Amino acid sequence: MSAADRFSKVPESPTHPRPDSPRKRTFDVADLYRGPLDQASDGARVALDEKLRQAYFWMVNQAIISPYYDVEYNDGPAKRFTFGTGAGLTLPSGQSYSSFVLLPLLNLAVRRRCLLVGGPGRGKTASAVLMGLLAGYDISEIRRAIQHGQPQMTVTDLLGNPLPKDLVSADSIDDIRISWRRWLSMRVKIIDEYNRIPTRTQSALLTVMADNYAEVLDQIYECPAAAWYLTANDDAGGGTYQVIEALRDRIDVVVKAPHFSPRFLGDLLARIEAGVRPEAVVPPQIVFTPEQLDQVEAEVLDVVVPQAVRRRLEFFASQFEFCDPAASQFEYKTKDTVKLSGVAWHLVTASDTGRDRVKDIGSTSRNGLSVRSLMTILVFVKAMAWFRGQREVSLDDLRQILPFVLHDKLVPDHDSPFFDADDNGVLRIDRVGWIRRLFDLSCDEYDRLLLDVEDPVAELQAAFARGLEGVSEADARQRLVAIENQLTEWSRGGKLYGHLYDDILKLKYLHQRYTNYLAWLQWAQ
Amino acid sequence: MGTVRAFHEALARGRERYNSLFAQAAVARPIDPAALTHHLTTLVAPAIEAVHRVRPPAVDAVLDALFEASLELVGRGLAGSEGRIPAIDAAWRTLWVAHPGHLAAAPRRVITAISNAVTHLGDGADAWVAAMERAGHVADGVERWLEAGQVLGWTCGLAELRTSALALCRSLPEPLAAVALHLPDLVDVDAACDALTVQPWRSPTVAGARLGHVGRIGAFVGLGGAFREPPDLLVRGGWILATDGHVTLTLHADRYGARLLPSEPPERTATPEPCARMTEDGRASLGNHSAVLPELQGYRRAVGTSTTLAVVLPHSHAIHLVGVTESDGG
Repeated sequence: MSAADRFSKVPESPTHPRPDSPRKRTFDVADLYRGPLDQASDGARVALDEKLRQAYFWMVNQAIISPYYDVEYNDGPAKRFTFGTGAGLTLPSGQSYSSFVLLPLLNLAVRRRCLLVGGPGRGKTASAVLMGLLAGYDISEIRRAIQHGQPQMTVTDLLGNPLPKDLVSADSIDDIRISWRRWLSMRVKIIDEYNRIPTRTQSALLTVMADNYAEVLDQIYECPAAAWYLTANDDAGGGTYQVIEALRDRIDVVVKAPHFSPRFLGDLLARIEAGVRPEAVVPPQIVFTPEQLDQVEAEVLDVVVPQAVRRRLEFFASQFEFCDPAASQFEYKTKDTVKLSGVAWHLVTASDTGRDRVKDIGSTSRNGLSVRSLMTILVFVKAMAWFRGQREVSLDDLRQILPFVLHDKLVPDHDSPFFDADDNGVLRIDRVGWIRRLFDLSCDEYDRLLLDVEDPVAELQAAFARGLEGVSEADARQRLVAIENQLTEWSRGGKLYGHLYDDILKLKYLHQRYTNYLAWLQWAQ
Repeated sequence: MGTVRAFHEALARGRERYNSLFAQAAVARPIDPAALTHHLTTLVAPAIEAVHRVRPPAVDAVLDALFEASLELVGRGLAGSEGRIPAIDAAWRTLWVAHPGHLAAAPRRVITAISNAVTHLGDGADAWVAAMERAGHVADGVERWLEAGQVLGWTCGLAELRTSALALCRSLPEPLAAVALHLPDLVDVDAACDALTVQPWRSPTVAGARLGHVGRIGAFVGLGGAFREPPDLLVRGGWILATDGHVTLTLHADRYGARLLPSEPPERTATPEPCARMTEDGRASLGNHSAVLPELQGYRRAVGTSTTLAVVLPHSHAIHLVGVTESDGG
């Protein structure tokens, strides 16, 4: 593609051709309208996932120089090379993507909160601005609406000021009207350098991010659903002010701004000399209306998560919360119990003996996965599958998305012996690589345990899911015995690992439900 | 040129964007600003004024689409006063002013479709543009107009589109199909399409039929044709193929035109339809029709399908076509 076509050209459909859409081999009148001008649309007929892919390819080809493909998909064997002392490079055999462009787009689709991190001048704010343009705002509107974190930012700077006239003349606080800041009404919200916002103002920001409303002097402004983009120079939560944990926890995905490859300096030079400004030439065909964004979100949520994929996510998630020495009560044997107790972490882990802490991936983290993070994973894997034109989530989608959602959510225990084994030392630094490795190891373990074939909990759960209607006392007792037998078998086993811990609790849950049912049956008689 | 106020105002509104677009397009491919300006003022400005008269709110979107297309086509040397495909300018000059409503309804789609179409039509482009102008008055919307344009692609010279064009034509309303098929007396679209399917050389609206010399195609490569040697003919899968040993081409031909297009070399030679025959004295037979065609006496090879007899003469690179027609043909 020549540079002349570069900046306003919308990628030709299909952007993700697949074998089920073969090239035509007969003459067709449709060919008459193909030619030197790309197939163009006036926005009415392109499927929305295709439109988002067009937006992606326009961004990577014309707007942002991001020649990286760190979100790798393979349609067959992929060549792999090793350099130096073990630096591996994979050449993906399928369509692959740059996370720095892809994740903000997915975030736009599902209207969550994306944190862009990286050193200064790496395009974090520029990327966020492009998202605003794709949502239909013009450049001046977006620039004026960006909230720039700075140490003197007050709550009213962020949210709005009471009208002076009302302040003077109001008889009660209810009479004071607020001049709300325009950005609150926008469907794309950009907070630049959020870690430079003072703590008190962070709390006000948290309310908007978490609950979608702003409050000043008891006046409430309900904000529309929006995609958020926050930027920071580091993701450790530091900065001018420490980011409050609740605010950090509201971030759904974290994306690193990559370094600029000097081999593309020529492209940069061409832009400087020509005065090129991609934000001024966003093709109208890839701009989404508010209705289209609503439709996008609805279509994403309709994507199916097959049970086989869901089970592997369940298995993966169950590895992390369990902490045997945390409590005597079975339900409290969690890392969260340890955190709340205030006891030093290393003291607890030192007493956690018997398990293979190199093999146990749960030992690599200081926390488990919250409900919020699991929900975010589910939404973003659906978005990933939808973006690729699939109507079901694949295991690859899960593997690719997990690291970006859990980047700040799963806290590594750098003292874990896992990081001292083999080549795992680099995973102390490479958070994405660490989480991906954990998922791969989890899948290996899942396969080793043959859980797709032999899953006693799944069978018992399936029986329960069929309902209690018509279940006799004898059947209920039989099921109780089955649960107890399974627990007996497990109790004779070796060490207790995370996934077994959650399975045991699940069986206890089922046991309790049947017990209550029996009691009711007996009362009913 | 009349007033172009709407054009200038729209340009002013999008000034930053258009300047940026031009700057980017000029990065690697020099675009003559004068050529672009001429293109905009002579072809785009009248279009914008026409759109402004019928649908003012669409002006900006139409200008956006026309500007981007102008950059692409003028930049690549396809359009403009020095452009390699003058038919593009002709189409823009005629159709945007004649049908601003259609242009405004779906600017990018219309501009892309029509600009691309004329690049395929070659000598048939002018006829196509003229027919599209007529069709635009008859069509009740952009989609119908463009569908008619696809059928017109066939009837203005792209014979290979015949099968799909006939299928599409059946869905057109009669007045529009009449324009697309160049049959002003058309009353029954389905019947006409049926007739054109079985007798592609004969007008479905005229009575009478006779076998005649209906066309000629092919020439020596040194004279702009495709054949280095006088071609041989064969039939495969219901199609007539012509080969000189260097290239093998498939014949697409009917009353609207004839084309020879590349195809794969034949694996075997099939026998001609028994109902298609040629004799040494120039008597041609096709189905129930026969005629003496003295110009084809002493033929070298003759093959036929159910609708067409193709004949080559000694020492000639041309292929003569014989078919059932309503007129003198040839």
